[in-house]
Amino acid sequence: MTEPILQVEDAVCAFGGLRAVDNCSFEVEAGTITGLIGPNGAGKSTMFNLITDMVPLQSGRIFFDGRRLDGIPPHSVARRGVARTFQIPGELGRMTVLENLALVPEGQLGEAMFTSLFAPGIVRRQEERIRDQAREVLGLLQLTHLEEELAANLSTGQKKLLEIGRALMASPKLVLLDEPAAGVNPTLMRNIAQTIKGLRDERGITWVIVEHDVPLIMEMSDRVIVMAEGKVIANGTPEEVRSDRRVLDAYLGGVAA
Amino acid sequence: MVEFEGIILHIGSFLVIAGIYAIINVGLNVHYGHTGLFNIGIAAFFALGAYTASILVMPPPNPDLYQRYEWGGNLAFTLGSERIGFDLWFPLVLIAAAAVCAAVAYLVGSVTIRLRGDYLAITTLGLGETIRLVFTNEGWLADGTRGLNGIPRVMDGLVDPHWYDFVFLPLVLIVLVIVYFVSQRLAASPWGRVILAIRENEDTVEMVGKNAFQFKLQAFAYGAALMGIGGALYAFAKHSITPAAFEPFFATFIIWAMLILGGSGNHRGAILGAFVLWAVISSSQFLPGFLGDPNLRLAVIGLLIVVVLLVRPAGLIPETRTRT
Repeated sequence: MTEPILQVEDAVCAFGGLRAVDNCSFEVEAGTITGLIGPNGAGKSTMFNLITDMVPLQSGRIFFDGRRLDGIPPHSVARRGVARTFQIPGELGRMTVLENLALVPEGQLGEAMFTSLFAPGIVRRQEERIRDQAREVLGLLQLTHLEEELAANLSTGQKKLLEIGRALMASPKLVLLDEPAAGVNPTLMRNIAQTIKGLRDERGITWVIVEHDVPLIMEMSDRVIVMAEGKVIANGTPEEVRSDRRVLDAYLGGVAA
Repeated sequence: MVEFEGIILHIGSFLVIAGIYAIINVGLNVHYGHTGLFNIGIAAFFALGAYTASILVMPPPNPDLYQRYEWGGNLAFTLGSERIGFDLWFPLVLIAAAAVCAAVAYLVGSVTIRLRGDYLAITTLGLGETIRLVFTNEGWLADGTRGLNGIPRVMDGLVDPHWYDFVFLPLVLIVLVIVYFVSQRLAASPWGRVILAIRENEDTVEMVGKNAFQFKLQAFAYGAALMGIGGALYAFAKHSITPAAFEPFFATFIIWAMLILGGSGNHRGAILGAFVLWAVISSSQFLPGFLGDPNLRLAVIGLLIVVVLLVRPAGLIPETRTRT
């Protein structure tokens, strides 16, 4: 058992009377793939919003790499090494696919107005490296031919892939994928699942994946966490979860007893 | 012959004012076209730039003539051709106007720029009115409603004052060209990419680790600085300014009309829009009979915008992605 990279302790988030996330606790080990599944409205996406501080935690604590992650701005979360994708793609519509990816890397000197104006040579050299990196990611996602296309013109599935691409551009330690497979050609998604496993093994990237394609999740995950009505109702290996009575109840209409 | 001379003079003054509006419009395009900041308080920076420049160059008022109005920087004399051979004050006050506007934008922005869409619009509208009312009511600053008159001219005495616009025009165009190239380079840089990304989706920008707030603040200050430079040039072009010149119609809304007409998100469109709309406004006075009525101009502007939006929804020059 290695150190957990992500720890969620008694997380609570309520919208009015609705407790979208209700006293959730779980840990994610470094270098693993964790599936986060559950019926619609279980609080999965809210959990991602809490981890990335897009929605404030009302009580509880979240640790990443041993440090508190809650209560800091979203961009600071990202800089610690957490990347995420959105369920509804957050593409930059009137920018090209390549620009969508080139935006991401940290430490771009040209992001300072002064440097961009007075040291364009340095900026250009760095920009070439960033573009090469972006093209590599596009190749991985089979989007190379769309490099110069405006992101708004992509299909839903392609936008989902672009989301994953954006996450990869950040060289993250932890990636939170919110329904990556929805709208993506299943064959391509199997390939991407292999890529995700490869990145886990080669670069030690940790993945937490919210997905409704349960067979896909069961196949690719090391552990599976099941949420229903804001609570974690099961947490174990795919085999353990598959045979869990409460999980079946939650999925087949009943509420966990 | 008189007729011909009148036309030439009109063209000179048209180009000067249109060029100034073009500079301000590039600033608005940085705010709205690129960053997505809904600024309807352009008048704030327009006025601030005009007054900053004027107050700095004006000689101190004669205390026998004025009771409240107190101070003038007198730069036109101390750093002008009378003293040092050339008008060094001119570039300096443009930079000062830009700096004051950028500083005010930075301060105001640091408490308001987090607001989205129409909420930011309301605060900027308020800022525009506030700045105008400050210059209206603080008589010691710039003589209140009477305003400042006889603002010194750069390169004065080179030609008959009648033809002065043709001395000033090249200066305006040089400033416009510099503003265009600097803004264009910024737009095509990684900085400009973050700015555009904020317009497209601020959450995405935050989630890739960029502090959207800081970038918005920088874009707000930069655009305001351009508006300030435009304001300063306007004061020198007009030779006198009063707070009434900065009421929302001429100092904010027609600039918006210029941006929509020319094509938001594109600096060339912003510049073209300024020239086209100002051509329509400034030449409509020559129309015969009731067509020359100043009130009818407003209807003409409205009609023009509606037609352009129907025929070319993205403006005369639509946004194209800058490739670097």
